[in-house]
Amino acid sequence: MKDPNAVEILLIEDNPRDAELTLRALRKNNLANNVLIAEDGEEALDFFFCRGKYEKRNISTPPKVVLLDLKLPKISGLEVLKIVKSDNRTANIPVVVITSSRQEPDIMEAYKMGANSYVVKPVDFDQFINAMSSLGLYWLLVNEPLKWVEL
Amino acid sequence: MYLSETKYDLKKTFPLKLVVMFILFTLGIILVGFYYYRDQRKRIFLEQENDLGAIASLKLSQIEQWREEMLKDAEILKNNELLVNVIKESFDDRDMAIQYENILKWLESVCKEFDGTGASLVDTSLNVLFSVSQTDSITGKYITEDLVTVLSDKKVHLTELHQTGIKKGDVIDLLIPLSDFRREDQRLFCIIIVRIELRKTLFPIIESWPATSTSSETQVVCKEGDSVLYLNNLRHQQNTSSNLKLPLSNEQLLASKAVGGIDGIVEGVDYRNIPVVGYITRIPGLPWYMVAKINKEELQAPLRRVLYFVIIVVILLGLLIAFTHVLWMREKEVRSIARDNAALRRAEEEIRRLNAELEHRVTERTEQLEASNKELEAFCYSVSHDLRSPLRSIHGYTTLLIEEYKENLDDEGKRLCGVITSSAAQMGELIDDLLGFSRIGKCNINSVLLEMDSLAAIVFEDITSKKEKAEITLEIGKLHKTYGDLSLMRLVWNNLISNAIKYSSKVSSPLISIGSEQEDGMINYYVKDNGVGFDMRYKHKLFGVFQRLHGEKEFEGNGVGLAIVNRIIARHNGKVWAEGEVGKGAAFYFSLPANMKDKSEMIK
Repeated sequence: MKDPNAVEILLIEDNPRDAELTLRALRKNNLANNVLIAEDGEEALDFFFCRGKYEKRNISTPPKVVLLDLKLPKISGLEVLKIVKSDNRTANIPVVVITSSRQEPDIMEAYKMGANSYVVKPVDFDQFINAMSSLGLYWLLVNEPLKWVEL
Repeated sequence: MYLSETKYDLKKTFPLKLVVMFILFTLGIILVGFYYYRDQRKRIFLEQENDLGAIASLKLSQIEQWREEMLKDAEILKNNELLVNVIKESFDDRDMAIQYENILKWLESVCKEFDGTGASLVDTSLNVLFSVSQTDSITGKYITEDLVTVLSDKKVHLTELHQTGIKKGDVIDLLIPLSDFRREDQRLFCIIIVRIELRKTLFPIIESWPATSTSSETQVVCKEGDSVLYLNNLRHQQNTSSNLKLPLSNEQLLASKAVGGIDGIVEGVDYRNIPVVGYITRIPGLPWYMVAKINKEELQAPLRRVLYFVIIVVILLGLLIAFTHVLWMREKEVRSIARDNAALRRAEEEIRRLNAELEHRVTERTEQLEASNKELEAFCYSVSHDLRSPLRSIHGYTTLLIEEYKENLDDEGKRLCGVITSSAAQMGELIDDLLGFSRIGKCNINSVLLEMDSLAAIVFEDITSKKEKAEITLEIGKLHKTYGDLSLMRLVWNNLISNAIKYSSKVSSPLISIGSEQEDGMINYYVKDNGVGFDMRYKHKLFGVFQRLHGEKEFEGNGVGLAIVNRIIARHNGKVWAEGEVGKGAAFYFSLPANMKDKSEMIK
């Protein structure tokens, strides 16, 4: 188990094959070193708010980006997004919605709830790798995150 | 139109049935009134007839009584043996002075007894021996006949009416024969003549009328030659006693009728030519007739009262019926209006109820539709998400296989892996297109003014490579502006232009022309190319989903593009169609309403 405080990318994805492909895509650009995979919404929320098996995590060291699939068991991706974005402690963490869905209402809902980006996973693996790597590069290297301030 | 309306109104105001009923009622009342009047008339006439008859018979009995009494008294005198003997003795007395004095005295008393105006005594030779108040000779021609009769039958006798020359007036003479009782043969020895003036004796009895009446009177008439003579004094004409003679030729005259032998109730005129009703009767024992008459006018006064009464009652009843009719009709009208109103209200309620029901059903159906829409959306979501996810795995892992195990794969293995990846990619596109197509059906149309020529030009610019741009000749004219959804219309141009490029890519010098023209309130846009064209026999398949007229190897594509165009144009209230010829090119048209202003006129 990785040190949860060192996690740079939180991948919330229930499909292990998609998770593997995503990891591979990130790995191709050497971005997969500090990736943590949460398999459902509940685990993701535990991570965000340092509960359950992540209780030792320090809330003041958030991941640089969260990759959120919308279709999740237990607690759906949109619900996770809503909770995270409406809590002051986690509201500033960048959340990128990556999903197979092109459904317009989903896109709209996601942006309304404060998603920072919305990416549709291409079927074509090359395109997929391209999308993932540019995503990782942007949020980990280009984007300047907000420094944590204890409230 | 107008006439028939008026007619209808009239008929409505005066229904035939009511009018007929009104007329029948009125006629009935008039008829009843008429019969009542006739009945009353008959009754009054009968009453009057009875009255007149009663009066006439009263008079008659009075006359009779008067006459009987006179004759009876005369008979008593005649049979008074003692008295007659005394008279005879005086008669036979030689002393003329005594004789004269006694007889004259006696004669005077007899005259008085019979209310006579004078009395005489004649011998059997008809010589007047003694006279009392008698200046006139009574042995005229007229009386002589009677005297002769008396001489032979020795009975009391009453002469006919006659007039005396000296003293005017109608008189009759009572002849009383006196017989010598002492002689065996009772020989007649003298006759007493008592002259009786009717004016003083009989007529007052006749002229008195027992009932209060203004016009009634009793006339005693007799025939005299060609005339009828009124014997008594008439009520309405002075000094008529035996003075008034009227010709018999006047047949209407009651007196004429009387002497003509008619009796009973008779209508006619009186001596003044006034219409009268009279009762005629013959006076027994005398050649006289009595007429008890009353003026018709007086008679008709009660009749007129009855008539007026009947007329007033008829008019009142008629008015009453008319009034009732009007009231009835009004009420009927009011009732029918109320009925109409009630029907109207019922109909309104029914409509309201149906409306409510309809609304309820619409709501229900809408809910159902919304539910099924939601289901459809969920289905699309599943397709989009769940199908794409395994496809991505297939594509991804096959790619990984090719990349990471390329040393272990021979060329055939690599080709097979390639087929897998390309198929997966194609299926991904198919799913995307299908979702896109279904999205067009339910997305909102955001209508804005579109510069169609620049939009088409931009789309052409976007979808062509440098190489293609160099090869293709694009003719794009000035296109009509229109209102529509920008992204959807861009998709239309995209599909049509990319089709044109695709199907003209195999000719040596591709030509694409884009234009528009206005016709019948519609703007027709077109994209023409000089490519492979199509067989017009299959044009109906062009705009269906997944319908293709060319093989995958010839031209790639999945057959969704034109279906999307069709759907977008339909949502803009337009139409699509195409013309083409194999090997010569194709033209795709779409029309949009020219007067389309903003999205409020769009049908969602």
